[in-house]
Amino acid sequence: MIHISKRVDFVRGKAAWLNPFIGWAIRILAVLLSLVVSGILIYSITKLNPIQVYIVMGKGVFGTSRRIWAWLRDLALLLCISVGLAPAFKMRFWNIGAEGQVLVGGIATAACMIYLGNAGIPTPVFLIIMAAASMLAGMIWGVIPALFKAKWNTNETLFTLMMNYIAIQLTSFFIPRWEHPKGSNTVGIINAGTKAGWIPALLGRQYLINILIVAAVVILMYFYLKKSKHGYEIAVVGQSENTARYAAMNVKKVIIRSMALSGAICGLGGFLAVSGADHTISTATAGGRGFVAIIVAWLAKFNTLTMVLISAMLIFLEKGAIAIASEFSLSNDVSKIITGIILFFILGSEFFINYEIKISSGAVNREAVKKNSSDRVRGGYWPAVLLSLLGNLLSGTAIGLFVFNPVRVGLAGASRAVYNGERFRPGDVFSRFKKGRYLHTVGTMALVTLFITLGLSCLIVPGVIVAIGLSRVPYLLAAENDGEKTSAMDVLRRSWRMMKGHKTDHFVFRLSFLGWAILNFLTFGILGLFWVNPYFNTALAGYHEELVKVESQDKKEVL
Amino acid sequence: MVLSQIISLITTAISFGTVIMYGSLGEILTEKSGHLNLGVPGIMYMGGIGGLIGAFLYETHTASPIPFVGLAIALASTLLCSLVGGLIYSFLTVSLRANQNVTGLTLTIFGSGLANFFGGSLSKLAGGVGQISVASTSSAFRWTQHISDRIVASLSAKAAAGGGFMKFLASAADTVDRVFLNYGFMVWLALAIAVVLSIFLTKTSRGLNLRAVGENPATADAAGINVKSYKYLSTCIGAMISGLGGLYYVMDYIKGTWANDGNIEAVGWLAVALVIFATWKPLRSIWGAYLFGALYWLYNFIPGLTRSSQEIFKMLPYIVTIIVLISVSLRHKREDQPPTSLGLSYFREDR
Repeated sequence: MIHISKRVDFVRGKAAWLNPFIGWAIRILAVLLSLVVSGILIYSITKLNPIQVYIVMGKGVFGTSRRIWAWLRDLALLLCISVGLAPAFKMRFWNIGAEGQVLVGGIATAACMIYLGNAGIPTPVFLIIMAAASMLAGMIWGVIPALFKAKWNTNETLFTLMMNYIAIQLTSFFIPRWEHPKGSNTVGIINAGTKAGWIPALLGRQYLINILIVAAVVILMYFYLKKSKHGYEIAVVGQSENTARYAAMNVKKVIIRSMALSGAICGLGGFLAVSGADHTISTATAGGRGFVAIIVAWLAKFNTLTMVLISAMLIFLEKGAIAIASEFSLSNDVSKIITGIILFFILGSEFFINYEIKISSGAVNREAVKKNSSDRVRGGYWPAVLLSLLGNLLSGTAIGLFVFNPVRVGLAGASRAVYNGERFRPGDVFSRFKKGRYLHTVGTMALVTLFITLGLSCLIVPGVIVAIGLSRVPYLLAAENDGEKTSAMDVLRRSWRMMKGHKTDHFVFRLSFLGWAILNFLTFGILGLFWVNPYFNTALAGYHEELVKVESQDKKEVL
Repeated sequence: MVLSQIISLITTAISFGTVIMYGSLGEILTEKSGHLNLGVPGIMYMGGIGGLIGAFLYETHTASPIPFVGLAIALASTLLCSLVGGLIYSFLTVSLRANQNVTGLTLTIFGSGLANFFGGSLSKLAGGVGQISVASTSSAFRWTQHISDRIVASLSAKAAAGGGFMKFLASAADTVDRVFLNYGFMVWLALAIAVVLSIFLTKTSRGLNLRAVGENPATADAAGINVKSYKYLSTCIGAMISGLGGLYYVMDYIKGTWANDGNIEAVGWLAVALVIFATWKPLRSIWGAYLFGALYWLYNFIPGLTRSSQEIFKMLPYIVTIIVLISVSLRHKREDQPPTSLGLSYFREDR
């Protein structure tokens, strides 16, 4: 049986400090795995060496200082939006509307640049006006769904999603009005000559101001969420609105206030995109970043500093994939495929961090069976060795179907005797050759082989499952008394029923001998001859004995 | 003139609305199991490109492709590709309990990337030049249209010879044909799926079980319903229905080519919106889809719009959805509410 439970920590006691590192190790492993999968995908499409492709990616992002700055610029924008989402998400308010909030922020900025560009306002003041306008626009866009959520509990996920498309249409509404040159249906570079309203270079670096603004936002938000009273209220509302109400918090006020903040910061992202990077506006200004930011904010568990790492990785992938695309003249969309694959893996890996998977030994006590088997084999050593030797000798023969199978059934019976500490009777091994039993045994075992082969031909895994499900058959046949005759299919069915709910358990039981098998291999099979095989055979018979006991116990309970 | 414009609006609405309908029918089935799949646009992308790749490979590798074989291949590969999308989503959200919104959005990013990548470079990868076009398969998708056209043609041929009544009959048949019959078979298939889905959800015990899973999985589990398999099946079948929307768009609506204009994504989000508009009822999504289609293209039929003001009209479907969303939350009618556990992952051991 597989048992899944919430994980408290990976290790306890002195090594507890390792816990966060194990979590990160799992995430990194997931990223590496996803790179392998994307590598296979890239190879299968382009027939290019994946490692070479990743080198091209690295060069494409970090090759020149200009590229590094472009990477930092995009990173800052994504980070700004993700940080903007943090308060909303921590409150469990699903703000899917970042895309729209960025766009309206961008529209506000572009409007300022177009209408106030020639007013001669000093640059610092102008920048502050634009930032304020964009934040106000984003705030309005964020507060509308929040109002309805607070007042009537209107579903915010779908509301904010719809607001995105209204924002996109609003952008399309303004584009023909602001288009330049006429008829191009694009806004073109705004104030290309005067550069009015452009975020200027600082210390000769074009995007330094963008990065500094975002860095400030990240740090402020970190302390706002972790240390301030507001941050605490957000956390409580996110955990349980009822608790918040009980603690006399004004839940509605918290929702509206946090969404105003969230929308404002996303709007600021629009300002950075328009005034600080693109100097134009289009429906692609947000470019899906609003959606990617949602994933960043979620994966970072609302921790703004972790967001830096994740957005750095995602922007690296995006830029890198674009570099691959242009190097090998493929479509840019390859970046979305790789981003998707990596995010799938990271999302999946969270499960292994948050949950503990225990494969419990089910009803059969693995350790007890193994202990008893090893004791019995040591106690009556030679019979057990002889039995396994016999099995080994006969299994190789071509007449396996007619000779080995009956012997195997006989061995199963004899091994049970060894496990139970009964007296060893060599005749048991050949008991299946008796008239009236022989054909039945051969037929039933042939059926088992047939089903397993059929299963194996369907991509192996079903075969393994069938093999485990029918693994009771030899033991069941061996236990048949004289004169008793069950039809072959009934024996198979009984085996299947017995293994129901025990398959994983049995698989693990067999797997637990892996160490011995490796030792056996290292000693060229000598260890197997004198210890591993007799031990393993006895233990398998022991497993059956215990399973039978469990089954009869279950029956009693039902009665 | 006015009549012909109305006819044209109706046909536009029906043929465009069908894309939305497929997406929303699949999503209704998925959401009924308590899973908000925001990957619908991505799944529609995957379905669309899957069908196109299938038909393209068939048409380029056979000397004289048979249209209906192409159709079968396109259908099968669409179902397969959208099933893969549904499996990714359900494995992550049902088995690994990942967050549904984030997984869905990721699936949308992945699906749109995959589709636009192959859509843009499929013919180049196959060593050809120019745009992909699977004309013969695409024509097979409109076979119902060809049949009704033929009937009308024969009627009007008879009318030319016959008297006044026959002329009237022919012109009436022509109008009926242009308004109601001028579509490929997938328009009718969508209607059939909507009816079947509605019967399934309201009249069968399995449909009831599914709704129980979406409302309260813990109770359903206690009643002996296999929650996981219901969630998996409804998500995967839902994805396959949504994927058909992508196929219809590619093969019928844009006639077997590929356009890198992000239209499928916009339609996909409209489909998510339509689920709310239809308040999770398949039959309501039929006329909802046609209404959305009409609203989306309404600007074409209103005189005196500038390029700028027509964009305001394109907001209409989204605004209408928001109004419905608000009114649903205001009125609190029980049968109009979303499934109670929508968006929450179920964990039996979690109490």
